[in-house]
Amino acid sequence: MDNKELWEKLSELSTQVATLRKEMELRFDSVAPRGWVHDVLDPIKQSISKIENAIASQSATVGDLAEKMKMMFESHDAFLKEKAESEREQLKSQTWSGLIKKYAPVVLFILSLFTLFGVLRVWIESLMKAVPR
Amino acid sequence: MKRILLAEDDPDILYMLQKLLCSEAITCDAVLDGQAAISAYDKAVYEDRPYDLLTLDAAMPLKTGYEVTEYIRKKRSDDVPIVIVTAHTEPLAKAHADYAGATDWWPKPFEPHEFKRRVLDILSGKPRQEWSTSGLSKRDEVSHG
Repeated sequence: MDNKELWEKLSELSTQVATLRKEMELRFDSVAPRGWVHDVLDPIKQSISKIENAIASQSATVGDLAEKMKMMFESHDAFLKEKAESEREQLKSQTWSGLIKKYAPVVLFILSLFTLFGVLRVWIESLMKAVPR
Repeated sequence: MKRILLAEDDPDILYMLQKLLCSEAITCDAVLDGQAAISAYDKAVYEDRPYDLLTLDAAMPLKTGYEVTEYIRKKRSDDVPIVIVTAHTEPLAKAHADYAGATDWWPKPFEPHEFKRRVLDILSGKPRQEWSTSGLSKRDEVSHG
């Protein structure tokens, strides 16, 4: 039995108990002043109240459970989406354009280092030439 | 002519499914994420060419297969057969598929021909008890009992 069915059963039960209470009150209303009626009815009324309380408590538990299940499945969805996204990113990074994107900064850095060393070499050479022997 | 929507974020698996299922008797539409699956479903309904079956990967970007199923069941009140294909066989996957309202859930990796047989069982309108009973995979045998 899933949550929805449980809800429906509880709701049905609640309606039946409410009808029972109403019927009982209607039927015995005319003879209520008589003492023996209270002796018979009061325990029944108390039992009905207990059943109503139990139904209310169960309904709250089912509602709470449904809320928790919803939260759990929402976080499962979020986890799956995140996983799929990261796998897609990983796949993207394995393509040529992805590889170029990934390694372009490193290549640029190495090229700039070579350029810098080239400039430095020319500068040092010109300095050495300029120094009188 | 039957129509299937295949939603799978792995292009290789999607290609394999298309090769496996699409024929002269079955038209397949293929999408790579859950949002695209919803758009394709809505478009098909709008054009009055509804799908006969949707196979949805559980883990997809933008919307999961479960979310797509919930959308179709709750917002569209459509009882079109929906199969969730998932790499996870833990009880959570089954519970989530049931919660979302999926017709069934099948584990990955699967035996392609068994997968096709089950798809054909659904498309031919066989009741669930008469679907091919051999396991899609070894994990399937474990998880389906």
